[in-house]
Amino acid sequence: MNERIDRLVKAARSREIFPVTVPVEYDEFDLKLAEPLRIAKRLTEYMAAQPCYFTDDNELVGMMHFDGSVEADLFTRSGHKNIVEALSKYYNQPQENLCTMEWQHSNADFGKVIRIGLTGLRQEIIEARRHYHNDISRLNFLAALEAMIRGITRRSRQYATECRMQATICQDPARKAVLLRMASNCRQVPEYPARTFEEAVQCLYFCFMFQPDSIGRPDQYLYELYQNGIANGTLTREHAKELLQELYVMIHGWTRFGCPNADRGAESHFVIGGYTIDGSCAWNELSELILEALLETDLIRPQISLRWNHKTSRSVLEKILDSERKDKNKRIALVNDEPRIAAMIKNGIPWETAFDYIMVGCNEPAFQGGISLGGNTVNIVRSLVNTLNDRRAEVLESPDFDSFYAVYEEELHNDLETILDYSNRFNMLRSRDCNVLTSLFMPGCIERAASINQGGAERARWCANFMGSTNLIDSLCIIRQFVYEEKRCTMETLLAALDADWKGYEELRAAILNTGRFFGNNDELSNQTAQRFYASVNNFAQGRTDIFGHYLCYGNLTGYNIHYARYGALTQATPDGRVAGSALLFGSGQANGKERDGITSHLLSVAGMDQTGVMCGNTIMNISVDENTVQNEESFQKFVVLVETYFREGGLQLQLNHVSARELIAARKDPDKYKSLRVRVSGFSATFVNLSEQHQENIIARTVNSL
Amino acid sequence: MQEHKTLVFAIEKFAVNDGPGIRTVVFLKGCPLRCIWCHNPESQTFNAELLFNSDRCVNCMMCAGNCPEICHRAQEGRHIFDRNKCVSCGRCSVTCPSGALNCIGQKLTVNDVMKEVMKDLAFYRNSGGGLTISGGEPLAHFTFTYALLKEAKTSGLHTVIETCGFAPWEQIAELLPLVDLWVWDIKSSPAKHRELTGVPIDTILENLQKLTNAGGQVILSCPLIPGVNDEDEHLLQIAEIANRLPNIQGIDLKPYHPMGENKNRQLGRKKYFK
Repeated sequence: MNERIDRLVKAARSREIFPVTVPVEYDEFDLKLAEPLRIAKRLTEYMAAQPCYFTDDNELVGMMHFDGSVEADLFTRSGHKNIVEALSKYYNQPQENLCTMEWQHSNADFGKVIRIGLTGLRQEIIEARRHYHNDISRLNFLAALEAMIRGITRRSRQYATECRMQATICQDPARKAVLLRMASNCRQVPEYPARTFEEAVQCLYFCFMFQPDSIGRPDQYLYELYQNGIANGTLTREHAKELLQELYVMIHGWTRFGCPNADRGAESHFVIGGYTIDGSCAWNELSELILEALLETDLIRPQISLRWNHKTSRSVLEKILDSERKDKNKRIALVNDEPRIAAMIKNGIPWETAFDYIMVGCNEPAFQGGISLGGNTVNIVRSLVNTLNDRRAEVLESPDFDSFYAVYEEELHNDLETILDYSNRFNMLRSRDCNVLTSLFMPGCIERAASINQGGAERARWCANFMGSTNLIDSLCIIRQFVYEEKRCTMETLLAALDADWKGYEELRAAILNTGRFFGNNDELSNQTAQRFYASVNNFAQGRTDIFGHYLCYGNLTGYNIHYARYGALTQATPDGRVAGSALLFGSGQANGKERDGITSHLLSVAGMDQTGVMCGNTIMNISVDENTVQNEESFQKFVVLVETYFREGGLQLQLNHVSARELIAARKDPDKYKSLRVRVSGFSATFVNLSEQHQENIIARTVNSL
Repeated sequence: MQEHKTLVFAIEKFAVNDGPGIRTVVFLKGCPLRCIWCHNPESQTFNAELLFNSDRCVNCMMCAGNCPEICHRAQEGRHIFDRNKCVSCGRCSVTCPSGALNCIGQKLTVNDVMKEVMKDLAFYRNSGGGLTISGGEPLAHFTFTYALLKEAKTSGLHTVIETCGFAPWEQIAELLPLVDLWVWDIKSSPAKHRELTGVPIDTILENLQKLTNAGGQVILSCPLIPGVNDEDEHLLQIAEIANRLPNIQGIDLKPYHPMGENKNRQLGRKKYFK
């Protein structure tokens, strides 16, 4: 890392690097305009009023925040008044102890604007206009998009002018040349297609402000210009790395310094690797450079997932895991293409779209230029609690586990139906605001002449996140084992124990905890139970769609919020030995030492739990690895094979921690000593001592049995 | 043969220090040696044993209600365990809520063990790993060890045996075609071997010579205990063996760790090497 980047990194880590926003007084007579036109007009005015800001160390420009005075980017929903009101009622607030409204992520098609420029988008708008010549509302929307193109172009020209002006007064010839190059870049992009790698990164940097979420698959859409530059000698590997690092600094700094989420990085998640459209391994020299550039920068964001697949070589996997173990900022995770792409194709997504999927947010699959709908977290344990309470007579009469399960499955499907209903209603609330800024960069919005959140998105996915799926599977296992197979207690006794929150039934609870055949031990009973549960979920989901027509799939991440603890607080004791009010588990795996049979069994259980692909949504798998295992070279090589085998067996995602429970407990006691201890939480990483108490407890619980 | 049972005290998955690749180690309970530093003291006897960790005990006395021999009682609110009465049935450990009581040693058949071992086949295939039999002393469970190795070979697994080598040569010779790698302990110089392990070294060295001459591939496994066997005489002996014998693939010097001390206390054994 050179000195210039080092200074930029230090600045981003120590203070706010984005310019202060300049408030704008909008001409209120614009209220007479149609909504999209009013929004576009105000956005244009707002952008024009913001300062052109860069330091002597910058070679890329465009930094800007929106202040909430007008409907801006879709990620923050800046200025989207209706959604702000809806979130105040439903965000983080469990409805019926079943469902809560969550944030949503999406990804602008940056590759497209790099390739065709805003002029290319304008051509698409002209083309679309022909289809809607009698539809005034759609024509207004398209006019608004066109206005946005003018506003964005004007802002890039402002930057070009500023760079040229500074070049004229600059005394340093080297910096002067850089400033002139910056001016030239801003005249070219994003208005016209990028001709060089540097222009492409400038375009990405500049347009990130309009959808500051994932940057998608930069190792794919930047690769051709990277190759050209290297081949014709206009670009060096070192300079390309510098540009990437400056981009990372901006992405890191985009989250306001000192805000509660400044410590985390989910909004910056993108992918490297995966497949190319012809089914080859997409890993290339630029993927490697992106990773190398990341490791050299001591930043918290951006965060990366490797897309692993059958074409990924072991040396690439080793490189990723080697980077992962060296990255003290814990920015790297891994996902498996195979089950996810298979599930997409099964649900009618063509290969031409599926191969190009990305990960956004904490760990949410999306498409390049697509939106991740739903993402709402749900209490999946409630279906079992309802079965045991509301259907008690049928439960007590069930002569065998199959009969019991039939009753349970009905309750599960009832809850899945209610969850879908909630999700549809939440998404309708999200569609009340019109968005023109991000929509410009989202495939489908121009062709359909509709805002991304109002049916414009061509590439969208729906998902709901289960909190407590492992508690649920374990509870089903215990019912099957203790009540029906080994007959160690009657259903009456078990229900009485749950009603009493185990008081007076401590012996039964201890026997369950000590000898229960819990999920994660590659045990026939628990594996079958997990597969049966997910098959039931699939039976519900198969053939259904959400209100916008997207197929249903599920996941299990909790995001930044402690949904699992909130639901747990409202949920009674469960047959897995859990006491009333205690937190549920999230993610695919086990915790609290219930994974007695070691890491291979844990991974195999998780890899085989879902035979249907219905869990190919926002699914995560946390494992804790003893530092000695990854630091010792010989055992590290075996660890690489462990991960590869897990993926070959169908595991969907993996993220790692390398700390001991003892270290985590010590950190809780003496936070000042552990200010730099980073951990993976739920698809994102964070500083351990800054996490909520519940997040800390969850991480300690799943670290107890590190391999 | 498949129905023959022996005492297994642990089956450890993702073992990365017991042979090539990712392995499953099957630990058999019972050993003819009594090494004073043994880090797995629960592996020494040929019967099930109860580990009692008083540090974890919460004095709930749930164990007392499940013990047919009345080994557990409360005295002034504290749990007292009478080991002399204990028959290691393990019933108390099932309901112990704190994990203070653990019954070590489960009688398993070869089929039982192979069922567990084969669960990780995908990991062995991808890493060149397989099955390692350890102990205790696997050769002290010859019939079982032979049958297990035979099954493992039939299933195409790479096999490793970790042994002190103290067994009749005929048994070792019989196992030879079934074992891909022998991890062979050299624990001390001849002069101190009996004092430190309870048996003389002669048979061990003779067997090693015959094994390597017969083509057995061997790694010498040598625990170094500070102040006990980390002397020149022992180290020179290791070097001499490695130089003289064929088919020695390497020397694994193992540093001492005191994990056995706590387990020794939990087994109710007062003396432990310091």
